[in-house]
Amino acid sequence: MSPEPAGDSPYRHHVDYWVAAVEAGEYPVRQGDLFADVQTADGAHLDAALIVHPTCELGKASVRNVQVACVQPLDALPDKNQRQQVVAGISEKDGGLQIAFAHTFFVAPVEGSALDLPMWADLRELVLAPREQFIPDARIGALTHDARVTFIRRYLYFRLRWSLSFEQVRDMEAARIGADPTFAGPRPDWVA
Amino acid sequence: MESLDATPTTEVTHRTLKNEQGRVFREIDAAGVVAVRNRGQIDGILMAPSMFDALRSRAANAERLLAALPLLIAAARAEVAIPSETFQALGIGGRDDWRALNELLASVPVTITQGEDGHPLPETSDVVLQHIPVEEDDEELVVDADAATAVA
Repeated sequence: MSPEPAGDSPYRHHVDYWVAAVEAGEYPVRQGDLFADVQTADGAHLDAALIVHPTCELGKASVRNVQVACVQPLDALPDKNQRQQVVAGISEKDGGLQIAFAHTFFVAPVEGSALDLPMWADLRELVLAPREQFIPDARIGALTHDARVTFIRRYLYFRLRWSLSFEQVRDMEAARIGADPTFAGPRPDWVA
Repeated sequence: MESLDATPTTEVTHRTLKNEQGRVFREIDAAGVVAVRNRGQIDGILMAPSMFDALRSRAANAERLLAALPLLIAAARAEVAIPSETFQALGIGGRDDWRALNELLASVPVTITQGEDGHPLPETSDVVLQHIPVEEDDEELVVDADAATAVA
């Protein structure tokens, strides 16, 4: 697959979302990782959730709850056109390509897992969930570094309406990771 | 789409433009587009502001469409349904297949020109981003639970 989305495409190819299961053990739990059957801090149950909490916070003992985004199956959207907009992240209107449903992040299936189905994370629906459950063994999918760039990019647009390119966000991530002596797990190959 | 014909329907000379401005502007109001001729050559076009705005808007629309065309063409060729008002209006369908749509978007260079609300996205390619490493303090806040409850 291509190392980055073509042009401005919001998302990567679906096979490039997740670290292969045999390698996932090398990766600590990070922002963007996918979990199933998450219990929230107020006792509710989520079938699936994506971590949005900053990665560097996840290991801190004083962090009791982790911020996660509720994840829904694509089939939860009855409207075909809306499903397509969530998968694409964009839509064509009046001859132009515009960002569609900025509060959504398309989540590709994790093959062979309990979440082997197309989904979307709802960035409007952030909830707190006790930290203890977010351990590597319970993780369904470890987001690849490249796919995390697309997640950060989408999140920045939703939160701040900053429209940065994939390259701009990746370069910032590369600089940040390169300067982080505590970075754990395999580094992306775009970090010097 | 409204027809916009910017072909001059009347001509004036430099001398007329200089000496009879009132008449020339009445011509612009009436004719829409007036050519200014000098020594046998047209060296200027005068038009009403509304027509200029309309032409400028039309040019911007064409530029947007140009940015969207690679995706539209690729989708039509691959017969993959994409979220497109133009395709909907033209009755162009395709397979409703999330995999095919994702693969298409991941392989066709697209240029997003507008934000979620339809406004043009700001040009940020020349924004220089610089990561400045900082030393973080790991100290945690000590919160007085009673005081925090009182405010809440």
